Parts: sequence; C-alpha cells; structure tokens
Amino acid sequence: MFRRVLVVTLLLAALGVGVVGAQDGVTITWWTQSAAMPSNIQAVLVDAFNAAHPDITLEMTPQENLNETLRVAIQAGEAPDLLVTPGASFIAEFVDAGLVEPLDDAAAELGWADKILDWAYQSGQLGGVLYSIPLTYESLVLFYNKTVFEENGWTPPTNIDEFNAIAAAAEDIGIFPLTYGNATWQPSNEHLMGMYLNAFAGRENVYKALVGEIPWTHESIAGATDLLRQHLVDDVWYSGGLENYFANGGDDIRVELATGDAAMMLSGTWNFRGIGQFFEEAGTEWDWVPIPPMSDMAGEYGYELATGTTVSVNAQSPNKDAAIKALDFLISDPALVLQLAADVGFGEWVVPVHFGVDDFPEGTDERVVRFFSDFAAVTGEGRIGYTTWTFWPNDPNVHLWEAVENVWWGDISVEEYLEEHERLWQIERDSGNLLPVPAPAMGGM
Amino acid sequence: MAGVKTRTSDSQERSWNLSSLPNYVVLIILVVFALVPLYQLGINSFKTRAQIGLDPFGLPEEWLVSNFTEAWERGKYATTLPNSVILTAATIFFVLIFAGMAGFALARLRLRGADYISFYFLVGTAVPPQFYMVPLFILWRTLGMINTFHGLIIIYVAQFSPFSTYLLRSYMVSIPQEFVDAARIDGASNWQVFHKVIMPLSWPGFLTAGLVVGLGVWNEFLFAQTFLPRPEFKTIVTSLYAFQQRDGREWGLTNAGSVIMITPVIILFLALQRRFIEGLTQGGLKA
Repeated sequence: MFRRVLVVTLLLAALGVGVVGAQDGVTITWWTQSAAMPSNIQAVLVDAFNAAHPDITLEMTPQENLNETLRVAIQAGEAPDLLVTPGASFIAEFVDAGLVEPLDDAAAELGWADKILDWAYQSGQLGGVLYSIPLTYESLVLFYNKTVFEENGWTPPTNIDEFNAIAAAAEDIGIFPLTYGNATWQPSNEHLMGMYLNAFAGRENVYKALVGEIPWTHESIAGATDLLRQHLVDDVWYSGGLENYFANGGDDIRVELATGDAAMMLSGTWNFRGIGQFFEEAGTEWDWVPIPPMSDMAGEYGYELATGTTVSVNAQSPNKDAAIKALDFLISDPALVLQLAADVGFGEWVVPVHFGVDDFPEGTDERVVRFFSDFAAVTGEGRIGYTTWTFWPNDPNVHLWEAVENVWWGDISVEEYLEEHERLWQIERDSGNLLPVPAPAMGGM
Repeated sequence: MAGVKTRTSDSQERSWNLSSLPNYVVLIILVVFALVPLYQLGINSFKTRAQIGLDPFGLPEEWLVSNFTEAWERGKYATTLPNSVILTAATIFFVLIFAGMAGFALARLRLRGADYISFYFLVGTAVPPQFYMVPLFILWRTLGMINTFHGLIIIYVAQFSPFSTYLLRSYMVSIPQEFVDAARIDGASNWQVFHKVIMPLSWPGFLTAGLVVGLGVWNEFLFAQTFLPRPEFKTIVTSLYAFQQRDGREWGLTNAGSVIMITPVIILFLALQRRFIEGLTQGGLKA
C-alpha cells in the first residue's frame, strides 16, 4: 500500500517538473488584471498582432492579483515586458525606481499624440516625459430610473434647482432621491466627492486648486464638500441615510435603482457593463444624463476625465522595441479597441483613441454610443472635470476619500478636513510629485 | 403494579425528553446555522447576478444550469482542478512522511533539545509569509523553480509540516508505551517501531493531518498566484477570480464555481468524517 501511494504521488509530483522553456524569436509578455480582460482579447489583439509581426510573439497573461504579483516579480527581476498599473498616480513610484521606459521618442516617431485623446496622452506624462498609455477611460454621470421618471412625469435634471425639485418629489412619493454606498469599496466616497467638487466648485476652481493657484480651503471647495455632507447626512437623500450608505454594496445600489426604491444614482460609466441586467430583471428601464451643474460657479455641464489602468514598457526589458510595437498596434486601430471594449460592456479597455460613431460594433447600446459621442464633443470644447483618482497624488487622494467620513460623522469640520488636505497637497507640491493637469476652457462660468 | 411501572417509565422518558430539549434546540440552531449558507450557495448558483440582488433567499425563477458550464469554462476548471489535485496530493504525501517521522522523533525518541525544536517549529508557523516572499521568489527564480509544481510543493511542505508535526506528535504521545516496549523486546529498530507499530496505530492522526493540509493547499492563493503565474499552472482558487468585474462580481457564476470547488472536498470529508473527527479529538485530548 505504502509503495503504491509513493509511486502514484511521485508520478503526480513529476508532472509538475518542467520549467517553461523559451520560445523561438522575440517573445514579449504582458500581464493584465484577469477581472478586466476581454474574453476576445486573444483573437482580436494577440493573434492579430502575432500574425502581423511574424518575428514577435505576444503573450497576454491574466493575473488575478496583478498588483501584488507584479511587485514581487519586479523586485525579483521577473517582471513582464509591458507593465500594467491601476492608474497614472501609481506610475510615479515605478519611474522613481527607474523601472519604466520613457516613451517620448517612440511616441514622436509613431505619432501617438495624434492617435490618443490629448488629455489622456498628457495624463501619461510625468515631468513632461511620457511614461504610460491609459488602457481605459471613463467618466461620471447621473443614472436614473426612466420608468419612475416617466410614471411621475419628471424630466432629468439639468441644474441644481431641477435636481432639488426631483429630490423633493421623490421623497414625497416615499422613495430615496439617490442611491449609493461604499460597503464593498470604501474609495467609492471619492466618486461623490469628485462629482460635487466639479459640479459645485466648477472646473475652473478645481483646476486652480490642482495647480496651486488657490488653496483647497477655498470657499468653493468648502461649499462643495458641505453640500455633499448636507445631502448625505442632513437631507438623508442617499439610500435613506449614512448608515445605509455604509451598508450598501455595488449590487445593492443597482437593485435600489432598478426596483424604483431610488430615483437616481450618481456614478461612473463603468456601470454600463452590468446595470442593464438589473433593470431587465426588475422590468424597468434606465438611462443617463450628464451631472447637472450644482451652482453658478460650475457653468455648463462637462465630463470628468478619468483614466483607469495604464500600460508602460519595462525599462529592464530586453525587448523594448517589440513591446512598443504591441502598444502601437493597439492604439492605431479604433475598431479593434471598440471590439475589446464592447466585450466588457465598455467598462474596461476603452483605450482613449479617436473613434467615431461608425466605429462602434453593430448592436452597441444607443445609450453607450450617446455617451462617448457627447463626451468627445463636450471635452473637445474644454468642458472637462477632474476625477480624484486620475489627478490627485496618492496621499491627498487617500485622505480625500478616507477622512471625509469624519466630516460626515461630525467628528471634524469641513474646514479642518480641507486644511489637512491642503497640507498634504503642499507636501506633494514641495516634492514635485504632481500629475499633469489639462486646463479647462476658462471664463465660461 | 404494572400500571405504576408504566407510569414511572413514561415519566422517566418524558423527563429525559424534556431535559434533552435545550440540547436539541441548540443543535437545531447549529444545523440551521451550518446549512443556510449552503442552501443559499446552492440556490444562488442557479440564478443570475441580478436575480440574486433582487431576491437573495428565494428559489430561482428559472434554474440556470448553464451557470455551471459557463463557470467551468470561464474559470478554466479543466486546467485548475487537476493542478490543485497534483499540488494537494503531493504536498499531503510529503508532509505526512516528514511530519510523521518528526512527530515520532519528538514523541518517542527523547531527543536532546526536542523542546527547542518544537519551539522553532512554532515560531516558524507564526512568521507571516509576506516576510520571506520576495527573497524566496528570488531564490526560486535562481533555482529555476518558478512555474513548476515541485517548486511550490517544496514551499507548501515546509509551510504545513510544523503544524502536522505538532498534531502527529500529540497523537503518538497518546499511544501506550507498552506497544513500543513489546516491539523493542522483539528487536525492532527505531524505523521498524515507527513503520510497523506507531504508523498503523496513528492512522487516524495521519488522516486528520492529511485533511487539514489538503484543505490548506486546496484553498491557498498567495503563493500559488505568485510562484505559478503562467495560466497553465493556475490553481482552483484562482478560478473564482474569473468572475470578478470592475463593477462587482458575477455572483451566479461565483456560486456555481464555488460549488464546483468545494464538491470534491465535501465528498472526501463525508467519506472520511468519522476518522477525521476521531483523529482530531483524540490527538487533542491526549496531548
């Protein structure tokens, strides 16, 4: 018996022996977060690239815990040729460590500035040097239950007065004006903070605060912070109060909106991916509109700019040229990008290249196409806003979504919160760790 | 007289029943506590994500068996399941060999410094893996053992051996010394005492250690993900990540994938549960 077990186990263990050998030609490796990977990426991107470049083999590997795996691999000198990070603000530490290859020469030679949306191209720069390309972009909008709106004769709000009126009407019929929560993702707080900053303080004031022309304690910023606190705590507009906000997870808020327990939801366009099935199940309809300006300072509506994951070239890679070719292959074909994005419901892999309405795959939801078309037109006019996870350095960003809960609980005042925020920003300014910030259209507010 | 006896007997029976009632109440609560999550896992594995959100406890409107096939394909269970079986089987085998011999030595051979060795094992289990992850990765890369099963098996064996040694030592201490003495009188060597006397008598202990190690390896994520980054070496735990999305999780597929993942473990446990519990309690009580 013992011998039989020994033989079987040794055979099983022997199956594991076999280091993966190197392949012929140049092989470039690209690890990507498995949760975000389109199911058609092998056929649409990898196979197409390999067919077009017989001397290069691109290997795309999904990783379940990419950040941690990548960090260990980098320290051990085993990192892939293409480095994916969760966002532009993560690149700085890689650049400081000399791990990321500057891409300016390649970008100039291959005309990347013309292929990538201007603001997105800039977001990949640090100190005027291009280090990364955004793999996806997104924005924030107002989702609403179209069925509830139609039944009550409401029209989507376009300014703060209409917004307040609908909130009051929703309360009158016994439903929540808004739904949101952070139970499954505490940084969800920053979605709301960013939206109120841009919609109340206005893009011009936020820009000035970002570049240090006004302090974060400015009255416009304080007003935005206090308005969110008021809606959340005093008016209990969000899912009935702070306790419910902290208890709600991502699916809970979609259920509240789809069932008509809530009228509206301020959230990101990543919801395009999964929101439909909740409404379908509940037998209702959804739609979206731009976030209405919440003060006179805000001017006309705009869209907040946000990049998600980024991709860079590993400075230690022996195959940098091949890696750059892979990036160029991706950003040179808008139709290819949209095929990938469509597979994941336009919640990921919306690489910020110039695409038109005709580039969208057949059958794409009209609401999705409407968003990307309007986004391109509006942001092209400079009506842009700033998401905290794209334009805030790491420490002020964490402070923004973490410490704001102390304001909501009444432990600190808005002024105390913003003073600390300003102090953290000053540290970043002194150390030169600021991220590039595109200027908005000025004077229109 | 007979009637009196009957009344007395009935009274005793009622008394026994009434006194047992709290036990049954507690047991029923515990059964419900254990079964409700399994019930929810089971029914939700046949629903869509939206159905789970709208009605997490109700029966499915439509039983989506396709969740299991989709979970199997998207989770790549055809790859990850055999990989986990290989890692688990090999780790159990080697851990039981090393921990069995070490436990025997610590329990029966009166080694000099045995207490220090035990303490060393204890300290070893308390060190967080992140502490030695990077140097270990560098060493494994130098040795060419990244993306190899045997590389990870060696790590698992080192990680799980101290606990198993403790468990088996406790079990072996409880075996009467007379068995060993009898074997010695017959001229048995240390190896023969271990192999012919202690091992057969400690079989429930080995089984228990094997199951604990098996569950540990089956559910391990951090080292599997780091030391086996290539898709063809992924383990079953990583399959559940295939259902994670930016805006949340595909709970229907996650539940179906979880059922696929725990089914082999439940079958194994049910088949061996008597020996498993026997080993766990005996080793613990007599230590």
